Amino acid sequence: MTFRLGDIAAALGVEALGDGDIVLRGAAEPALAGPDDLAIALSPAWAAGLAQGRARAAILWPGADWQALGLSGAIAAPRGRLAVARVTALLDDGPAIAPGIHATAVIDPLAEIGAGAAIGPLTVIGAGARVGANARIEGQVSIAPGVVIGADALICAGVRIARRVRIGDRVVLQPNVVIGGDGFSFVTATPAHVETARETLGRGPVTVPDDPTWHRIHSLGGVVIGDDVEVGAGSTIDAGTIRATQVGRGTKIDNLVQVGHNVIVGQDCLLCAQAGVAGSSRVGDRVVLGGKAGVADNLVIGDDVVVGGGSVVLSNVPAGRVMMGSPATRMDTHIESYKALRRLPRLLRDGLSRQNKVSNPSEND
Amino acid sequence: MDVAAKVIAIIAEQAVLDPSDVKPENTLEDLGIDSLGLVESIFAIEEAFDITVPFNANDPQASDFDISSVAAIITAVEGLVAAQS
Repeated sequence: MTFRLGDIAAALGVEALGDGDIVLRGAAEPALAGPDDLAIALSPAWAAGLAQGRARAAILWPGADWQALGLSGAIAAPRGRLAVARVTALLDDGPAIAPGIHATAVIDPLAEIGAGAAIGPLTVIGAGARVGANARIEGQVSIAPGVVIGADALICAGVRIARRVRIGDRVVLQPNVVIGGDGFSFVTATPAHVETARETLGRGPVTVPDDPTWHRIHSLGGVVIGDDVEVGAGSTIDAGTIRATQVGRGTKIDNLVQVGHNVIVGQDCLLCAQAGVAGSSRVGDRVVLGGKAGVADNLVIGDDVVVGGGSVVLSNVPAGRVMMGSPATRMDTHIESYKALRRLPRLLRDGLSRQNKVSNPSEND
Repeated sequence: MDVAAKVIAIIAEQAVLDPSDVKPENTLEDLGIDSLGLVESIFAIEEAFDITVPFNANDPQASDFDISSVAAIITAVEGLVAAQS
């Protein structure tokens, strides 16, 4: 596939600088770029690389002097990474999934497959499942009976979609995503120690129940995933108990994220790698959970909250707050606390040395 | 090692640069040190010189401690070290 520099500029809504007719085959970092690559140089830090590479054309930072950089043509991008989003979309021809339904796919006669859908080898689709138009489904995917998937989905190899799951349009599921596994929900016949711990903060006697059996609470609610959601490799979204676990439109989930049963994640959130949201918590719109951030169960996280990487949220968070640490506190409070902690060794040492000066004479008395 | 060299070594470590690449006129932004990197640099300075730096992590611009450039930080640290002895 080839592109003219001018076509790429037009896709970004800007004019190409210099020769818009340069024909390009791909994108590359500046130092590694060949003559047919569009070099991606979004800040002056990449200028030296342009000299090392052989690019004739580049996407440059605003105000860059493309001629002085030895280029024949360029695109100046006011917001570089947004330009990269558009350019990479243009250059990516997507996974190679042959059109139509592969001979080895097992598709129940009662499943409905939309027009233009491509389904790879050894994929299994159950009775009553509905797959929207133009869906691209790689090999070895399992789609349970009754599952509904919208139009233009991209479902990668090894994805498992369990019963009672509804998925919107244009959803991307990376390899080995599991949606709709049963929730981790068990209950004892009488209140267990873990249930009283939050109230008692661990004080008081431990009561050992006569019957320690964990009775299974079955998951009847399934999962509802909105339009334009992406879920990264190996991430899991569990089924709700009575109603569906929900992930709102436009939310992007990274690899190895766990979303527990009954959780409601709002729209346009980012859940970074290894984040976890425990059962029944509600996460607002546009919330960002940094990598390895954890949210305990039954909490409410307001809209626009940012939780820093590795933080652990143990109580409700009002809208707009930036949280950090474990337990998570406001970021400014956390930094103050951390500052105090870092100064503690010197404080103690200084305090102890002062104490010695005072106590020595009295010992000699 | 004098104060300036020590401060530059600390900042270079945080910026993952060679000390020779840290110039007095550089700002922390020039060196790619963000707000949390600043906090770490300040702690490293406190620990290296056994001083307490009067900085407000939430609003570094409002602090008495001038962090506008590497040279300003060196001057401020020299002041604190002198005040202590």
